[in-house]
Amino acid sequence: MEIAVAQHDDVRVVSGIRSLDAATSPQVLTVLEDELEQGSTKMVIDLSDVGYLSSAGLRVILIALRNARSAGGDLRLAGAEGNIQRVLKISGFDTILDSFPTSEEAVASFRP
Amino acid sequence: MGKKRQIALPAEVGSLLPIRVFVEDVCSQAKLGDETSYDIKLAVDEVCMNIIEHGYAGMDPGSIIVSLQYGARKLVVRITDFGHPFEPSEPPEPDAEITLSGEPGGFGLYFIYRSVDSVTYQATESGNTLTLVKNLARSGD
Repeated sequence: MEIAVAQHDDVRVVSGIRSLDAATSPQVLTVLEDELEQGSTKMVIDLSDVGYLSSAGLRVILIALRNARSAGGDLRLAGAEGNIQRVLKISGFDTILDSFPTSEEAVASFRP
Repeated sequence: MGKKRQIALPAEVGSLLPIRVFVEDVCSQAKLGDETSYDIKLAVDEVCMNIIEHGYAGMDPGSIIVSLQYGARKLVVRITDFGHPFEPSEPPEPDAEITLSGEPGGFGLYFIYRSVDSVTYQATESGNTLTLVKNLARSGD
């Protein structure tokens, strides 16, 4: 799976994730942790290509969210639809982090 | 009751995708809606992940056998492994505070119980079988 990281000012947008499950979560976590290590604390995960999200994927989002917030930044989601949005709601993730229809809106939400 | 299909694969993370593809194929054959299919895929995936992580912990991984049988009114999934017996129980609803600052967990089990209508477990000398039943309400979805 090829994951892309785009830079919009000081916000990093991670996209291209097709599945966020036990098999793919180590790769996604590595990408997110690399960005944080390089000093990027404002992150957006674009979920618009994600066709499958399981508890293993939620764990990755949660680890990255906690890391970003403890470094003074935040992690926000974009593009979640249908079943993906449903999983986020069932797990209560819709109440612990902000989610936007598009990555552009998620990036804009970081601007003061 | 209706058609039955089965797949057996090694209990390893690399088997999760083929199992999911298999479940999706059966759900599509059974003409289930998108939400119902996702629920079943998610429940089976979480059960298999638990077997891989905990069922075969500390021992050579054996196999996971997933069978699906469906008729007009319900779909029955049986997942069998030969590892340590582990009887699941329904976890509480995820708590946002605990998720954010405590020791979160139990999402997998929560998804399993929320995705299907009944969960039963049987451990015998010939293996552990978790049976998931999903009632099929054909009108909605």
